[in-house]
Amino acid sequence: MLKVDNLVTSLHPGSRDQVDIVRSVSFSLEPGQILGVVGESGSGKSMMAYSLIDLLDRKIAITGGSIVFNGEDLSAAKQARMRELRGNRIAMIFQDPMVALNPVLTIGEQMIEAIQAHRRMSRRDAEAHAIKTLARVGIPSPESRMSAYAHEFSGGMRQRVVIAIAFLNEPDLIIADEATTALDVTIQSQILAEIQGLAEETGAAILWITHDLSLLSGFADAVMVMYAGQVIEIAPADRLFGAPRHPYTAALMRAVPVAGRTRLENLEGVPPSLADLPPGCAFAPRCPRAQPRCSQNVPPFEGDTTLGWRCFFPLEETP
Amino acid sequence: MASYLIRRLGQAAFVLLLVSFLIFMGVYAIGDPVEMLVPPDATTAEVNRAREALGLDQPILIQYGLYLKGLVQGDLGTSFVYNQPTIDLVLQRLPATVELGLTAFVFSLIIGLPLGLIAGYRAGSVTDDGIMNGSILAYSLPNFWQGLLLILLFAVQLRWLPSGGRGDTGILFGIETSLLTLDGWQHIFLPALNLALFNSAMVTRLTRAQVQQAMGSEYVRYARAKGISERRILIRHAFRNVLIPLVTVLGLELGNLLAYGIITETVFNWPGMGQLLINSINIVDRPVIVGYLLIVVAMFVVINLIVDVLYTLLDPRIRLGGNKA
Repeated sequence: MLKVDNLVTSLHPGSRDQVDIVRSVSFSLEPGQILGVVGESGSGKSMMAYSLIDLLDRKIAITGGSIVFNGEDLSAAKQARMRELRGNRIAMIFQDPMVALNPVLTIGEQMIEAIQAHRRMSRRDAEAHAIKTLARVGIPSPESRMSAYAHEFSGGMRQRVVIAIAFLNEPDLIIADEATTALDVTIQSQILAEIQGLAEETGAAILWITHDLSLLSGFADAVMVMYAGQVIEIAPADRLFGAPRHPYTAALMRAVPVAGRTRLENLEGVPPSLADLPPGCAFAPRCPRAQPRCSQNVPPFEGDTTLGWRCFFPLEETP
Repeated sequence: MASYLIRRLGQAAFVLLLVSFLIFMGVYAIGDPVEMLVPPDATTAEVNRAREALGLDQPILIQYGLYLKGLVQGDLGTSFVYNQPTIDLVLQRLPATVELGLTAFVFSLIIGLPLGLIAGYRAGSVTDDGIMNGSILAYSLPNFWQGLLLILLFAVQLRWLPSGGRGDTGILFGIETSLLTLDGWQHIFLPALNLALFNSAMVTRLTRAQVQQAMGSEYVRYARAKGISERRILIRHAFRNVLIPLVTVLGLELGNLLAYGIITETVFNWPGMGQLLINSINIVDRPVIVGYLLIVVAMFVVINLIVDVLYTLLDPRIRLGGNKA
């Protein structure tokens, strides 16, 4: 349904200061599948997502590769076509609903306009549909909440409103960018469970972007790990959590607190600047397994878009 | 809401009291009105008689007390010079000034809002540069000079419009207004445009800055992610948020247009309150000066109150009186 092939997105494209921030990313998504995208701040995960739906800032543009969505190449699509798809076939959930929702418009208006932007539907029908969708994501007394404003909801309820808006037009793909990062852990797990249910029900595929690897276990079907704009490992979730191959993935997993272990291992150093990448593997300067070869040549991607890694010396596959 | 309004009225009364005291004392310090009123060859006895007749022989604080006593009964005093109640003098000229100020205000919105929206939406483009440069001209050229240029072009060169004065008026709700007759419109167009230019430049620049900020905001990105049209994003999402800071400044500007259109009134020989004020200051006609300024302050108070009420309509996060929603 979605097939991204060697996507490259650059800052200041075509100029001398061109910096590639998404570097040759490939993956595919099937209906109902949840793909987790994990990486540190600046790893390019959000820019990759914005590239998919043409929401990049003015100085950033796609400079290579293709995005094939339901048989249509989005990297070549016109702006008007992208507007038709956005919020309709591809919906997006942002990190902070407090700033994403317009503070001076009612929730009802922001839902109804999202329906009417894509479907010929009377205001009354659109309103009824919006109320039904609010009820579906667990908003109590949805009729009366339609006339409320964003600041009148609690954090968890606000995020439910945004999720309801994402599902309004029954999209094929939902991109969630750190959608539960601002929430309490208990509310976070409720919302994850609800999204899983909705995805199953509607058959929507979900691209779940987060910096929190532990959140993805038990939630995502597959996980893609990004570092310095590249995919450095992609695998089905149980396989990745059971036996990570890339040293960076392994380091991320050791940095997650686990009951019974007394000390957290932290990963020394910071990711390299994309404008000034080391000649070899981008992770080599921080990698405990690095050999001289790693800082000379860029390791090629081994495997395919469902299972693969980018490392000369991957961790052993434990039986 | 009711308690809020009562509190605001109390504040307004205090401001009016303070202003009346300051102006009263200030005018007292300017000079002795009697000197201006009596003929130069008057005898001391005549001067004293005039002083007594106007109540100016009393100590200043007593004079102020008497003035206040009249004020609470709605009496703004009698002009020293015209021997007419101040309120009549002001009301004769108030409609002309209010009509000019309001027309200029509407002009400045008609010019400023669309230009600001376009410039803000296309920030950095050639259109934006053009609008910004134009606004600098309107902003920085002296207002009276702009007025003279308008007269030169439209009245002298093209002969399309009259150069000054107020034209035929009609009566609306018992008030004289130029806006009902073609001749009236022809007379008010140039002075209103002149008065509006400076403000329209300000409205343009302010709107542009706010639109630019709003278009870069997260809620606009989110609206785009929903597939909302750019037109609706600009008009409904961005503009609603832009209006909130705009209304504050517009309120103050409306007050300025109504109160201080003096230069434009002079250039276009417009029979408004500005001329009355300048004449009154020249001859130290204290009741008229104090009365006029009190009316101006009252207008500002009312406009600010309207602005506060508008806030609550525009921004659901604000409730009057500081009560949490």
